[in-house]
Order: sequence, then C-alpha cells, then structure tokens
Amino acid sequence: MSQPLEGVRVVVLGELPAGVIAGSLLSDLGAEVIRVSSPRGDDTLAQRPPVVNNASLAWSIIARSSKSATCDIDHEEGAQLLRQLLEQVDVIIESFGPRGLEGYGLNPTTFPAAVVLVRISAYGQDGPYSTYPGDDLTSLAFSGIAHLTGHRGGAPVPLATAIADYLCAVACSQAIISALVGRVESGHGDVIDASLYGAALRITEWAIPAADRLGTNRTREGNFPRNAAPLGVYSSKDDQYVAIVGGTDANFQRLVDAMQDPVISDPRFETPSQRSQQADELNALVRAWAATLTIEELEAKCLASGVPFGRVYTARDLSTDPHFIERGDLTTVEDPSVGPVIQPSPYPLFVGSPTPPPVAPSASGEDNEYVWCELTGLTADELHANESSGRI
Amino acid sequence: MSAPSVDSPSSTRRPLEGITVLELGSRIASVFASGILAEQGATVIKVEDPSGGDVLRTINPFDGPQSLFFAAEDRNRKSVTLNLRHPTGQELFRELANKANVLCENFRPGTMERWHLGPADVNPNLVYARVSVFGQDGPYSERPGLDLLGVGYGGLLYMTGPADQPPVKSSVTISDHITAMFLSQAVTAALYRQRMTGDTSGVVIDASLYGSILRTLEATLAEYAATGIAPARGRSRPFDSAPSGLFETADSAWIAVSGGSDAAFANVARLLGRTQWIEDPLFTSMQSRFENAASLNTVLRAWLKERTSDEAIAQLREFDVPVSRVNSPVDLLNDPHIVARNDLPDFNDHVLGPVRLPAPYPRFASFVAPREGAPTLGEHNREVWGELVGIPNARLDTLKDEGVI
Repeated sequence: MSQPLEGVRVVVLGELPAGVIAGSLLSDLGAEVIRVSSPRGDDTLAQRPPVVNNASLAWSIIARSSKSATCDIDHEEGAQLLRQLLEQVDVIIESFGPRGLEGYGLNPTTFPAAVVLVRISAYGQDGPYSTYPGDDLTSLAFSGIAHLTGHRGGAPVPLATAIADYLCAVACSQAIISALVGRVESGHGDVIDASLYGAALRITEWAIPAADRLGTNRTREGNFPRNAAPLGVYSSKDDQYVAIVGGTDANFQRLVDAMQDPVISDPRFETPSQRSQQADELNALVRAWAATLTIEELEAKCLASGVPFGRVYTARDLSTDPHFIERGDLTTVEDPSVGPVIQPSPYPLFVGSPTPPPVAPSASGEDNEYVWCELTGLTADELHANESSGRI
Repeated sequence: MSAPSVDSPSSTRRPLEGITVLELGSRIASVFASGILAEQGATVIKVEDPSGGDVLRTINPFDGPQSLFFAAEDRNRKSVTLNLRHPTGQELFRELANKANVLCENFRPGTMERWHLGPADVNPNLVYARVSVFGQDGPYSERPGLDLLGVGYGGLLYMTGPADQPPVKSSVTISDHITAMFLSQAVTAALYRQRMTGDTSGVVIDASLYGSILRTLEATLAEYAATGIAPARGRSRPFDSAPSGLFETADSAWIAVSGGSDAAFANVARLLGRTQWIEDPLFTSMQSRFENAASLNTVLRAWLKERTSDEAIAQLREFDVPVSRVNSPVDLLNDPHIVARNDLPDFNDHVLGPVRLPAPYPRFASFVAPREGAPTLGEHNREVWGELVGIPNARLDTLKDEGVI
C-alpha cells in the first residue's frame, strides 16, 4: 500500500520548531518535505540542544527525512527564487510571524489557489499580542497548562518535553491533510492560522467551563486528582514510583481484592463520590500498602487482580523494554553528521502497512540542485552564479 | 487571468463534509479525535451504552445535571444509544457502520472482535481507528489502564517536576489528548489516500497512549544513548537553553521567561545589566548556556523576585524576550488577547445553553467551525436509527423496550 501522503510536496520556512516538527510528521506519512533556510548557515534550529560533538541530536530528529535548500530571502532575488519554488508545492508551513511573509514580498494572496498555507506564530496572526515572541515554554504558561501542572500547593512546572510545540505541530499537520482532502474536490487550498498556545488551550478539559459557569479556578492537583480516588503515583518499598488506578467502582473492587486490607473494604468508601470525598485518606491507605511491597510484587498483585498499574519509565527503561521493542516503537537512524540517532518511530501505526523508517535530514543546501534546478528550473550555471553571489 | 486568491474562499464548504465518523469512545482519546474531525465538517455519531453512556457524563465537576468535563470533550456530535453486548445491537451496529467512513474506538484490545465488530466483521472500507493504553499487540497489550499510564510508560512523567520531589503529572490528561490529535491526523491521511487513489479499502490504525508521548520525547533517548545518563527532573529543558523557566515575581505571581535563544539571551543580558555574559565563553551557544543554566537562572530569578509580574513582563517585552504570565483559567477568560481572538467562545450546550469552551484549533480562513455543544444521551436515536439506518419507529420502540437502544 502506498504511503498516504505520497506526491505531496511541503516547504517549511521560518524558525519555530513547531513548523519543522509538523514537517517531520508529514514526512512520516510519505510527503516530500523541503526545509528552506538561509545560505549563511545560521538556522538556529540546527543548534537546538542537546548537542553532542557539535551536532544537534534534536535537529537530527525534528528535521528527519527533510530535504534542504538554501536561499537568502532577505535579498529580493532570493525572495523571487523562493516565490518560484512556492509555485511548485502543495503545502507551505511558515513561522515568520504576522505579515512576515508579506515583508519578504511574498504575499499569500498571490500564491496559487491550490496551496495550503499554514502560518504558525506564538500568538496567532491577529490580536494585541500577535507581534510578541514566544515558544513552547511561554505557550505552556499562556495557555493555562503550566498553571495546571505541578504538585498540589507547589510551584507550577513545565512539562519536560515540548508539549505545546508538539500539540501545535500535530494539529497543524492534521489540518493540512484535512485541507488537502477538501482540495481534492474543490481545487482550493486554505490559509490556516495556528497560534502556539491555541492547541494547548484546546486541551484544558473542564477548566474553562468551570471558571465560566461555576467560578471555580482550577489549579494544580498534583498526582492525586480530587474527582477520583484512590488514584495516583505512589512509592514502592524499593523506592520506585508506580501509578495505581482504583477510582471507578470496578477498579476499586479489584484494588480491594489486591490489597486484602479490611480497612479499605469499609462501606464509607462504597461509591465514587464517597471515595473522592475521602481521597486523602484512601490515598494514604494505598500509599502505606505500596510502601510494603517491591515494585515487582506490586505489579504482580495489581495485574493479577486487574488493577491498572503503571511504571514511571526513564530513558533507560524505554530503551530496553520488550514491549516497545516488539512493537518497533524506537528507530535508530544513521545520520552522517551525528552517527546513529535513536528516536521515536513514526506514530501511530497503520496495521499491515508498515511505515518506511525515517532518514537523517539533509545537510544545509544539500538538495539545492534538485530544488532550484529540477523543481524551479534554474540552469546549472544559474545555480552556480547564485551560489557564488550568496543568494543560494 | 490571475489565479484566485486563497484568502478569499470560493465557498464555505468544510473539508471533511460528507464524512461520517462513528465514535465508540469513553473518556477522552477517541472522543477528542473524532471531535477534531467534526470541527472540520465530519458528522460524528457517538454510540453509547443505553445504561448510562460514556462514563465522562458522570465525572465532576457538574453544573446542575451536566458534567462540565463531558460538555467540554463531547461537543459537536450526535448521540445514539446501542447495547453492543446484545446480538441485535451488534447487527444494528454493522448496519450503521455501512453508512460510515471512520470508526474511533478505545476498548481494551480484543473487545470489538469478541462482539463480532472487529475490522474483519464490519464495513471493509472503514478507517478503523483504535486507541488503547499499550497498543493492539505486544506483551502488555491486554493490560488495563488510562492516561496516567500513558505519561508514565511514555517517559514524560519521570522527567517532569522539581528535582527534590516525586515526578508529577499534569492535572490535564496530556496523553489522551495528544494521542487523539495524532489519531485524527492518521485518520485524515487515510481518508486522503482513499480519495486520491480511488482505492477505498479500509485501514486499521493502532494508537497507543504511551506511543504518542514517546513521539514527543525528541532527543531524550538519543541524549541518554550519548551520555549514559537518563534525563531526570529539575534541570532546564535542553531545548529551552538558558536563562529560562517559570519564575515567581514580587507579587507572588508566576511568569515564564524564555531567554535561551541567541537573540533573547543577549537582550536579557542587556536588560539585567550583565552585558559581560554576551562575551563569556561559558554562554556562547544554546548548548553551553543549557549546560551552565543554573548560574544564569539564579541571576534572573533574583531580578524577577524584586519586580512585580506586570513590571517584569513589560520590561522583558520591551527587550523582545519571550515572556508570559502563567495564566489560570480565570486569567484566560479575561485576557485581552484571548478575548480579541475569541479563543473561548460560547458553545450551545444541549443541557446548559451557552457555555464557554476553547475554540476549534487551528483556524481555517475558508470556514467557521461549528460551536454545537454536547448531546444528551440518545438524543439523536430517531434521526440516526430512523432516518440514516431506516428502522421504522415501531421497531425502534421495541428495540428500546428490549434494552438494545
């Protein structure tokens, strides 16, 4: 079976990571993705930490499978070249900020009607903050996610991965494909306004309606939610963190069975609302029980009784887990400038039609001949002249 | 003739109009996945057990009879009841599936097959989208679980939180929601492939909760492979570089400052009167600032502690440094930017009337996304079973009496 996005050509412009990540998600699905950056080699994303032996591991992963062309769009001739390339593509992802493209003389109203243009920016294309800079961290804060992450009574904390960037990138790649679906019949593309904070705001569950309707200002609940118990992250006898879930009636009965503790079988804990009202007491009982058993013992008891049980995996655990290995969740890509780079495989899985493994991103300008000659129509001499003058 | 502009849409037809999605979800992941498709024009039919429906309907907080959790997650869809454990219910489901393009479900692997509703039993053209904690195969696939296990096994939980405390989850279900986004993306790609190739045969998509989190780990595993040290809590995030983080201000508010890029770093140095930082070999690259984050963050933290959040935000903005207040839900309702962009519009909830919810995301220029609220249980039984599937009213009454719908 062919890859879903075979034949779709995407150009990625600008320096917000979410745009490059969105490109990698489309390339995971079979699209041809071309990163266009400055010939001066000052693409800050290519320096994204962690860096090992002067090579960015993060870049090798976020830009995987992308081709690279260079073009100095600060100069009018460069911008003209880019304009010609944009005639040859299906999708443009840019993150120059509001009216940034227009500032380069690239007015979207003059783009081909079939193009899908995604404009990613920190605060969206309009509104009073639209010109402010921002990134994953400020978007976690602005969207409410940071306020809702942390121990109860403690400081807000950022999630350890760039969740706002990824939420934005996945939503953008989905929206792009949706616009392409619509284009099959209409012939028309679309212009999509994607703020970095908006995707994170979209997943704040009941926080907004509760503030609106009840005046409840939801805050950090830590590992023990107020509306279900017992449920949370506990410590085993051998000091390992474990997740145990006993909030619903069915899971609570399973946990009672696993714990074999007469105290927890008390009729005071019979209904979900009784349990959530006495969440602290119940969680203390589970905490005390967990502390008497090793993680292996806890896992065996919970699984035997059907209690949802989870480990809290480190990078070491992830790299060696047999389930992940059997499902092919991790891929090692040979990157000539970095070496082997272990990374997440394309996700989710299409059953019965495995996705080809990703490849390393091209080096800066590596695909100039393909992009500027084959796609855009420069002659070899014109390409060399532009390279000499620093336009490419 | 000049090409028509993409800024002036020729129609307001939404891209997924004509697509029918059956949602057999509970809680969040497959519910949100189908909700995204609904925003772009798909018709989503939620199929719920007649005995009470989606468990999310029973989860706090409530406004009168309505769970606000359900109101937020289950917007923009129709609800029908159907007992999938009943042989007649299974028969009806297969008929309904013949009218659909997409199915989203999140039962334990093997459940749909046990009900004779697996991919081999229903409409062969369906894009059959499956969410589960551990995926459809592999040694852990039959284990129970939910979002918390996704963030735990996916590696996010261990790394999140202060150094001297246990790992901490977000109060918001991150794994469920991001799994849903990935799933909706894969479904849409499968629909695109069907439409482009004319090959309408279906496909099964297998989305594990942990896998979506794993996909966001970026260089975490590569860093471990290179250094031998598993990234842990309490350090700066590598991609933020430094100075950066969430900081408390003099008025006991919290703000995010992201001063790690080359440009922002130089501007922070100027604002704080530390221009010597700019030439300091310890701080010349994002990587070196990440490695020496503690010394930079200590200075920034002290500076912010002497200023109110308003003062700090204004000064940092003046120097073009990314900064934001750590907004609470009430802050969001009143933020001028949120208000100006109408990011929290009213939805027409079928129980509550107008209720403010996060806007559809992202924004397409060519159409306005629907703002219909969540349905009551079985609200669309007559419309779907009667009009779409073609069951006479008299039989619907019998099916109801028999507990099938």
